[in-house]
Amino acid sequence: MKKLGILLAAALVAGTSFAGTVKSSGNCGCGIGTMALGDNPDTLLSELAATFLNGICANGTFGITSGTLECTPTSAVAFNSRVKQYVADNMDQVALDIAMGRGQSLNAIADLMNVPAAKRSDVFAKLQNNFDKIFPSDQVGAEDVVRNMSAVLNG
Amino acid sequence: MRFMKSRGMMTHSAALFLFSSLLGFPSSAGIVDDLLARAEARRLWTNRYWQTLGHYTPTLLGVESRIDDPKFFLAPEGKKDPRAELLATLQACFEPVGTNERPHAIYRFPARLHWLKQELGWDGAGLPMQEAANFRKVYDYLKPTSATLIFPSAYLGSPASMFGHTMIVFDAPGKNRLLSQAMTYAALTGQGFGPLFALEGILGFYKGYYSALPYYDKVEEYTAIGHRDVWEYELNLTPAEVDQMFRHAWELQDIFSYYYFFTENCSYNLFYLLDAGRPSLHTTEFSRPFVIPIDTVKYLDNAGLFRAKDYRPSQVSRIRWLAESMPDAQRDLALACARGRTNAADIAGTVTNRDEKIRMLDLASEYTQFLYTDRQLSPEDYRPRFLKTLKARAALGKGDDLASLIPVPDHPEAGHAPAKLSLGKGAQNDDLFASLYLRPAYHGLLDNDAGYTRGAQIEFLNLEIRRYPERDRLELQNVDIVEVLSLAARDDLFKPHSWKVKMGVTQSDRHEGQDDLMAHFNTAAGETWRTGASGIWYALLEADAAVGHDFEHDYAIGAGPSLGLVQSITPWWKIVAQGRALYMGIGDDLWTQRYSLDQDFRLRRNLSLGFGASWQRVDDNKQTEVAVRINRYF
Repeated sequence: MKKLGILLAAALVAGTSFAGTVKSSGNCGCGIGTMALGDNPDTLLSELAATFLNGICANGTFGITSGTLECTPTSAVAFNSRVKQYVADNMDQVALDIAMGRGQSLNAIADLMNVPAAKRSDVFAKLQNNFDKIFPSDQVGAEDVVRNMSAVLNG
Repeated sequence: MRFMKSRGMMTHSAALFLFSSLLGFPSSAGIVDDLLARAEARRLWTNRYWQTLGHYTPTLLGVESRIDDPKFFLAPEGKKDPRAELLATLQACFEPVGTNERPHAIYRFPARLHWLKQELGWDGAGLPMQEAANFRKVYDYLKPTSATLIFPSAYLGSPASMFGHTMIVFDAPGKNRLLSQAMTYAALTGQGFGPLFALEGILGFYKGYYSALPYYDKVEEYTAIGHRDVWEYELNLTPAEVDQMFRHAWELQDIFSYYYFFTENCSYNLFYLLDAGRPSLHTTEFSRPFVIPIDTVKYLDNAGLFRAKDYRPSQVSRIRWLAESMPDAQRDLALACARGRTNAADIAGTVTNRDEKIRMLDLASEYTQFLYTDRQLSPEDYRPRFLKTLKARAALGKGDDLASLIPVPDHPEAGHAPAKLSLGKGAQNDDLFASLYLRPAYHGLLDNDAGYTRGAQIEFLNLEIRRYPERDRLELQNVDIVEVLSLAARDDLFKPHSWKVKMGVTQSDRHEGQDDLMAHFNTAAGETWRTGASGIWYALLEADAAVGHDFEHDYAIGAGPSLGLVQSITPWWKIVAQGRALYMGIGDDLWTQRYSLDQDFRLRRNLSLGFGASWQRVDDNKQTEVAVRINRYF
């Protein structure tokens, strides 16, 4: 009877929306939007523009947990902040793609790094061969992953 | 076409403007007055494109914008007065920057300004700035040059997504679409739950917001968490059209309008973006009692607006394909690895063929991820297991591009249209009848499954009227408010439950030949299994509550089992066999039984022929019925 009650309630919810609810798009710390707009995130205009760019906030460990990405500047030039954000938001998928040596997420990262199409196969193979170094433990965070990827590719 | 025509006028007025500038630089105020006068003279607010940008729609007394957010209007009466809004927009654009607390009009309404410049043949002279710096930054960052309509297919497991959804993404050249921004309109419903929720959604109690999110975020939401395949239709728009669409999307961010589930929903509201990009589409005039996402897709497909179609399989689809691509023993081993009963090293040790190993490890890692998102695995179990499998996989090097091998199912737009009209002839016992059946939306168990999910039935407001010549009367056979039946098959990979909810008014059939209506509410829960590749069978436990004069105390409540088979014998021939027995023991004391066999022969995409035969017994009244129907989908 409890189950029927749940099913019933679920069915009645049918009338709510096609899309479910809107995710909150408040100030997401170091979100992409904030980064794109430089150092004046406090003005109303930037806030508005930031909603156009910000995604969910994720601290980027495995398993889609939420939190806020730490704002420490990365040193390697090719690994810009968009890469970091992307890895933080798509950690599991990035790991899956690196293990397979191909995939949409890996291509997206390559796009962000402006890796020419001809070089991608080599870059992906190198990342795949060094999977252990990029993901040394299951507690690794997005910061570390990006740093490790950078080390593998620049090393 | 209207756009082209007015461009001709532009050169004319541009010349005029140039001439007046040569006579001496007019002051800002002079320019505004001139523009206002010309806008007035041309009654520019009556232009269809201005109506599109303001989301104006005709009412009995004039026009009214469908946008409810006061932020969207610069004139106090702008919601109902496109003239005032147009003039206020022109004036506001000339305000010095920083004089007003609200964001500057040039920042807020780039699409309006762009169009006004074109229409008035005005190069923006006299404005405090030509464009807001923040807009330019975001634009340069995203570089939108093409746009794609996204259609995540329907998923019955979540009632809010039963019809699917539509949104627009703005693509940048040479960038993976995952990096694009998705513009979506959705209801902000808060934490409410229950029957009120549904009513409020239909009656427009919730605010719907336009918002932009990274597309990868939406892809994750749909393909991994929502188990929904995603269809991507790249729109055949020019870069200039995409620009204007983007400007209008900018105008809509964080703007609300009240959400109506059936009419002013996600799909309807995207029409404004499309019309803003290409005014000749006139999609906002697409008039139907309902706007269903799949209708949008079909409409744009027919309008020739798609230049490329892509399929992004959900994780469930990927897992299913991988699992079917290998022998049972290998699949079992891969699943055991995902469930933690063995580990990735065993796969490497048991199988020698490298390609087979790769497939097994891919299946194991994807299925591990599925178990986690399905909450069958804790994060503590998931993380090390996922990583261990991936490590084993990485050690094998690059394999075949398996993702490209997943077969693309029938496109949603290739399926039947969601509305259905049937004309039928039949006999109930010895009485002949003619029937008319109308279903505004969306897909029934007997309808051809191409483009839809097998076993997923959603019907709204379906109505059947019959005429019995011998009884000399017209009878309402039934009218259902809603009937939702989700028959999702279980297998060794996925274990969904099946359920049903139906409510409406129908003939009670307790006394032969009488026209007695009863209101009823019916719900069921149970399980479904596959019968080979093209069929399912199910077993449900049903509960039924009915109100009507045919019952001893005017109501009856009961329960009982039901069984059924849904089988596609060929791609054009489908049968549904059902049987159920209910004992109504509360409020009355009677048994009802019904057994039926229905067949559907698809003649064309939107035309089919149906045959039905049934036998039922309600209390002591036995009834046999046969009918033939011609079904037209539209």
